[in-house]
Amino acid sequence: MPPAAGSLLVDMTVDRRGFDVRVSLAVAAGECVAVLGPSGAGKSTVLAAVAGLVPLRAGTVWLDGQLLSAPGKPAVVLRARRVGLLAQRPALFPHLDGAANIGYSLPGGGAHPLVRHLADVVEVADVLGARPARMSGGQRQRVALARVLAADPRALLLDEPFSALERELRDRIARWVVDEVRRRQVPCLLVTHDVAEAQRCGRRIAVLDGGRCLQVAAPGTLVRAPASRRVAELVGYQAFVPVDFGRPTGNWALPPGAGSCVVGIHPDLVQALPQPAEAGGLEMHGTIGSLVASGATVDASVALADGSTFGVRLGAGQPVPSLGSSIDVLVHQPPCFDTRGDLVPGTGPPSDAGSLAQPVGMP
Amino acid sequence: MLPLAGRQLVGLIGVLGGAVVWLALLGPLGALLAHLSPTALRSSLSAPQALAPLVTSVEASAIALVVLVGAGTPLAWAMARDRLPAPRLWEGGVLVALLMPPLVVGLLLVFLVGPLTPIGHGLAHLHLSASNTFFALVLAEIYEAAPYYVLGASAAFSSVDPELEQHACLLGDTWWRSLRRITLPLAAPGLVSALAMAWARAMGAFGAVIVIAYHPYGLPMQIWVTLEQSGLPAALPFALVLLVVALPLPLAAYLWTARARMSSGPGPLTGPSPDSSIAEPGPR
Amino acid sequence: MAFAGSLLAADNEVVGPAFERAEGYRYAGRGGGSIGLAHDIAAGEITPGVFESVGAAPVSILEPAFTRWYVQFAASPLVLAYNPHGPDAAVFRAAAKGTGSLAKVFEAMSRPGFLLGRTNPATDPQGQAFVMMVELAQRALHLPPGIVTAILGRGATSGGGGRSSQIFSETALDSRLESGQLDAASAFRSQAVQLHLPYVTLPAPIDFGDPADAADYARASLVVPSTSGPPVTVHGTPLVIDITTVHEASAPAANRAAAAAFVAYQLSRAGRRELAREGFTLLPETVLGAPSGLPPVVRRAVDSTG
Repeated sequence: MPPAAGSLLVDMTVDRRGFDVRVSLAVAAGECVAVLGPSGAGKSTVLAAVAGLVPLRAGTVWLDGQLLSAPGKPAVVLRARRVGLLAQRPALFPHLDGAANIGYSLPGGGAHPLVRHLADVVEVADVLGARPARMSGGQRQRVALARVLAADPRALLLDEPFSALERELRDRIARWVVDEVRRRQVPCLLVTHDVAEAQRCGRRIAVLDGGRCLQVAAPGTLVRAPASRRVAELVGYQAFVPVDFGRPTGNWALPPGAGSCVVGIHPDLVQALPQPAEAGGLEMHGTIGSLVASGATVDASVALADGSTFGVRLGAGQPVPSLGSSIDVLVHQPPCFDTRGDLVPGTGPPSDAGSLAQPVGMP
Repeated sequence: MLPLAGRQLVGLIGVLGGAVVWLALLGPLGALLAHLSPTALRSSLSAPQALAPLVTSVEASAIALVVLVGAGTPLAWAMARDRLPAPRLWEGGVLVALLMPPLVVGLLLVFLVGPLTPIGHGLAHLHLSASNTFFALVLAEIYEAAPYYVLGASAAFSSVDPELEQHACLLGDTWWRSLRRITLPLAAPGLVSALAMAWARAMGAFGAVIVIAYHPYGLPMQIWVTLEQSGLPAALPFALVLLVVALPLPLAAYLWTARARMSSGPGPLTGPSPDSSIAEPGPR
Repeated sequence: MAFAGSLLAADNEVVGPAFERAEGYRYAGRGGGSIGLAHDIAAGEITPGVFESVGAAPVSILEPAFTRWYVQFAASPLVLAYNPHGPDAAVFRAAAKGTGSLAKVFEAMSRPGFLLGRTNPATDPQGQAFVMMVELAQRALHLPPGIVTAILGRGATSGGGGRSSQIFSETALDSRLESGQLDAASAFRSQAVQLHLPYVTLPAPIDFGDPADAADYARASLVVPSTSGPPVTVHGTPLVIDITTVHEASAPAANRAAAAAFVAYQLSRAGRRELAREGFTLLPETVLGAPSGLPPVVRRAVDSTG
């Protein structure tokens, strides 16, 4: 079945030193999918394979109805793939100035009007005349981003594109990139190791670990209902404690037949008691391990009797306990994981439990 | 830490040591200039045909360089990009050519391209001979200069990150176009110094030349024959001519390369570093 | 110790080591063109203790500042070394055995395309002697007058150098002949013997190896270009080996003694026997120049064998 026009369809196995990367993903035209994972997960390998820089061992890469790569067939040559890759190292051409880098693919090079426009948008107009060696890391990243976009690619592959940018600028550029992807109606894969960035940029988030895609979820679902304990670890869960460490409150209860399982604890989902009684979850008792001021609030770490620790934010109006004092906390609607590490069905937030996003456009 | 005076002393010793080595390296040049008598210079260089060896050397070296660039550059590129089967074997071969004394190369060339060898017969069909001809001189110079050019050019290509070429292709360049727009400009300083080195080697080629190309005299043979015939004082003027002709190109290439290095600055490929502002480029 | 290139193998491999064993001195030899070496010694570029040359001309460059005497004790006749697999090898072989005519050999050499090798007349006495040998052979064997040009190329005797493609460095000439890349080449008999090359012996009146035929040799001449001045006309002289000690006035006594000891050893029965085995012709020792300058050990050696 030919894939939808404009979409990127990846279903591939790529050999990497030590392990293989096996990923199946569909990215619709105008959609940005964030690829989230720890370093060494194989994120950059996925992008390299789509770009045609590494061969496939099995599977296919389709873009806009064209078969780009398949084993045993000569891959479509780099220039004909028309795929825009922004590598983790920006790889600017060191002998060309900023304008010539951005306009590399354009007739007239750095003098093309699009160069000035893109440079203004990514805020690098002041280094158009400078060689890359005289640019800061963030300027190089943005020049490289503009260079990729100037080439009018049919798909965007962005590898940690904003890592060297200061926060405010990063948010601004990220928003513009997502808008641009929608406006140009091209598929985009954005690699990051930052959950918040993945949530901001991705319409969906693919969690990659050890060369495998563990979960594809909507940004709102991923943290609240990770598909497995490993995904929970990767999206910021700090502790996993036996469920009988807490006392179920409100409407929360372990589904029948769940057996032996652990509760995942994410700092954003923990509140110090007393709490409004209707909140469902598990009450736990621990001691204060440390206290760190964070803006107007205080981050405390809670140590449980079994030695596991996690953070809790003490908001305005809550009393700040002293170090070593005991504290009661409520873990909101926590996901539970069975002995194999899989999510116990029926745990996690009840309303969202069924909304694990399915990949779109899969054949 | 040494006290300040101690460090200054160490610095001074370093400078003095460096100066001694530098002077020792330049010593022969100084001796040449000191022993060169103006009258010998005048009488040697004013003789009819005195500069014919210079012309011969320049012509032969220029042809040798053209051949080297044509044949050596693709080999150097392929070696740098690991495009050859058994890459170590190729590198080893070039190194052997580098390590073989030129005189030995010359003697082996007699076996290889002498008039009565199969190759010699083949050359005869083309009305060429690799024995005491201009062609033989060019051939000997190519053999003496080739390893220097190939290794130098290969290093120059190696210094260009292949990722840059890939990105150029992803941005729509054909392989040829990326070679022209990215690889060659970036490798140019290294290629030019390899070429300058090869030029100096070709101009000064002697060991292989004396065996297969006693005639026509290039400058090194002229120096040798004059030395044999009339002794050192008469030969020195030709040595000066050789230096004057062979040195400027390598020197100019070196200076140009050094400038290119200065202006492109440190590590153009360094990864992203935290960037706190979009204002001025940092003072580097 | 500096010596003509053609003496290299004999001196470095046979006489030198034997001298070290017999007399206990350290020997270090340097070979090269006799004329160039003499110029280098005269200019103070090299300071050997002993100088051994082919022909007296190089020694005369060193007189009187470095030496006032020399002893002539051997000769080095020219031969024609040939390639046993060359197209004309049969002609050469017959001449070598004495069954064929020498004139045929020269006719073969005059054939277009014949690969002849010789050394540079501008720098090497052998190169000069070879040209003059062809001149003498033309007259002695009643060959057609044009054969000299046919063999050596135009201007070979009149300063033009002849066919430059025939001229090789001494080293290259040997290796070319050994590797079969020449049909025939000029050689001293000693070279041919040492390299085990087949060779054609030439009659004494044209082989420059017998001082008795000096008058014959002198009938040939050759113009040699000079880098410093007008071309020089060289007349044929016997290719005799002359040996002498060379010293600056300030040379230490120990060096003088060692040099004299080497000369004495070379002139002794043992030294002469070794040279003869290497293909040289032994001549009665003749002291030339100022005999009063002869070191006593050399005098004794000359007296005991001469």
